[in-house]
Amino acid sequence: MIKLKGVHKVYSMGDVKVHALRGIDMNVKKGDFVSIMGPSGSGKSTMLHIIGVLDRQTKGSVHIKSVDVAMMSDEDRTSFRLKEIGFVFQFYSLLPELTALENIFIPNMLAGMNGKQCRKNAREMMEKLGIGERLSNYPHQLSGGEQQRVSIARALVNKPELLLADEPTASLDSKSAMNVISILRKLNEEIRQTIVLITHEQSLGALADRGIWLKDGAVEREKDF
Amino acid sequence: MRIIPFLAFKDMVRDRKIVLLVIFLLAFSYVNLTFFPAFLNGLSNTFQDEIVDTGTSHIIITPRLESNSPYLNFVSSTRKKIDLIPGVAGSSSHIGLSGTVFFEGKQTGVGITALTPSDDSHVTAIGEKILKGDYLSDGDTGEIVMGELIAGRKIEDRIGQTGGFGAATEGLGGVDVGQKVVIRFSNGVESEFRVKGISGSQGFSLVSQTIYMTAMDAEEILGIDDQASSILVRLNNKDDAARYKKLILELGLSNANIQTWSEASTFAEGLNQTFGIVIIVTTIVGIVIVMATVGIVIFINTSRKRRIIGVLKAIGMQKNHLMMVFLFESLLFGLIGTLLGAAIVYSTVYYMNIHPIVLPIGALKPVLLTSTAVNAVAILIASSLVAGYIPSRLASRQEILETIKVVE
Repeated sequence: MIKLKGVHKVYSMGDVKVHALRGIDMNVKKGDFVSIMGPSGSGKSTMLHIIGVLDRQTKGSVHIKSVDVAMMSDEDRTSFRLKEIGFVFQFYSLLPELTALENIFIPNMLAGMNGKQCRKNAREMMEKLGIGERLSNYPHQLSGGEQQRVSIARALVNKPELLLADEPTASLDSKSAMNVISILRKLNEEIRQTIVLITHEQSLGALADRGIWLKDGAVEREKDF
Repeated sequence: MRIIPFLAFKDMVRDRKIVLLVIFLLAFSYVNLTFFPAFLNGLSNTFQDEIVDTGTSHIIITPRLESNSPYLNFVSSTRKKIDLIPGVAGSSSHIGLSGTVFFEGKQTGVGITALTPSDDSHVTAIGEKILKGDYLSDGDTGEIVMGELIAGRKIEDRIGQTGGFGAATEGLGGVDVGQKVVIRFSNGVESEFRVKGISGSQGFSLVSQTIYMTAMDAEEILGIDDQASSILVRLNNKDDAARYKKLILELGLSNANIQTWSEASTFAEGLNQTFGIVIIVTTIVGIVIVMATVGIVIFINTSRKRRIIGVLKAIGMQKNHLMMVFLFESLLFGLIGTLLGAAIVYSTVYYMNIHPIVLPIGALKPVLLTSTAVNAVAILIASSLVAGYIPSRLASRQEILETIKVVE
């Protein structure tokens, strides 16, 4: 599903070059649930952005579903993200002017699905994630945990093969955080959803099948849980 | 794509206050683009009507300079031919004279127009401009109608007057109806006349500065018969003047110079050109205001949404579609603002045509030309799109990673 080989990422800040990733090798198979952990500045987010086709590596190769994503045009990368990758962001990133239902069906709409089907899919997804009664609520009317569940529903509504979660529990209390990770765990077990989770909390990361620790832009260690 | 209008509508509904502000700004930009020209058109019409009604009528026929004669000949037969043309409301011959008027030790040089009142009533509105006394009748002899500026005012009547043509001009010091004046014409003939009426209008006008007498009197003073200084022609429609000029030219009048009212009055033409330039300048200013307003608002709007723009791109929205969302908003701003502006302008113009503004030059009824209204719609919508394009493009091309890091 994901194959990283010798991936480097160097940011240029004027004359200063910052090595965010230093030769990362990683393989994630379909149905894996992998957590990436490490302290701030270890390169977790940079790695997620490269896997999520949001950024390009400076050196090395990145294959997702056997596609060399670095070789794709910007338009193709956008289409690839729409069809193949679901994102869950730290700050929920819901559109405040849309209801929960509308936020969820945006990816369906982007994929060209008709309105009726969009609503049906979004409703089903909300039921599945236990927020079926919050259809017409706007983001500001939802708790942090509910907003993150809406965000997960939006990430999954196009049935992507890969779900990327970037610190999805960072803004939540411990109960809501556990709830969100449990949902991810359940999705992985029930529909074999491939998940890459970024977190700085070891206890949450340990709920994945495998943990990868980064330090100073390199893989420090890997462990199966 | 359905998502473009969907997101644009939702965004507008959420930012109702800003949207209303922009729409009002655009509506007033529309008013700025249309009402001022309508006002100037009205002003121009007021001037033109005054000139047409008291000076030139719609077409004026005068002797050619080359003819070396100050008069047109065979006036009655010429007028009969003209009156037979369908669409001609009537014609009137005027005889121009000049001289000096004497009254109680004062004197002033004047222009005098002689006419046949019954004929002229179909052609000019001079007979309706009587401020005091009566207008002339066809059979009147030894009687005149005097413009109020010539008649002037008595000193006691002028105390406290600070404005207006009457106050500014002393004239003959206050000639009243029924009093007699002596006129010495340029050919040396001198006669006494009784003032039958005082003519004038609210503002700048020929009737305030002219003496009118009957053609019968003028023919006797000048020793002419069936001759006139000019023939004035009234049409059913003022805008047909150029076409009727050609028809009258086809009559083959000898030694005649035929002009439409706009050709005859360089003042009216000059005024039209001046107003035209003023309208162009205000239109350019209006366009700049529209572009700045819409541009700034969309720029602020997009700046506030950097994170959401990043998220939408991250989850798979193409940047061109994202740009179209903002452009669609600009288009809606332009359309709604234009509709509101048009409603304001049309209702104001309608109201002001029923209740015109009375200006010193006359009653002003704004005239909104369809071309002005349509052009303003096109300008406003095009300006909205252009003004929206740059910030929309900038927003859609922002780097995803820079935008999604923004914490709302």
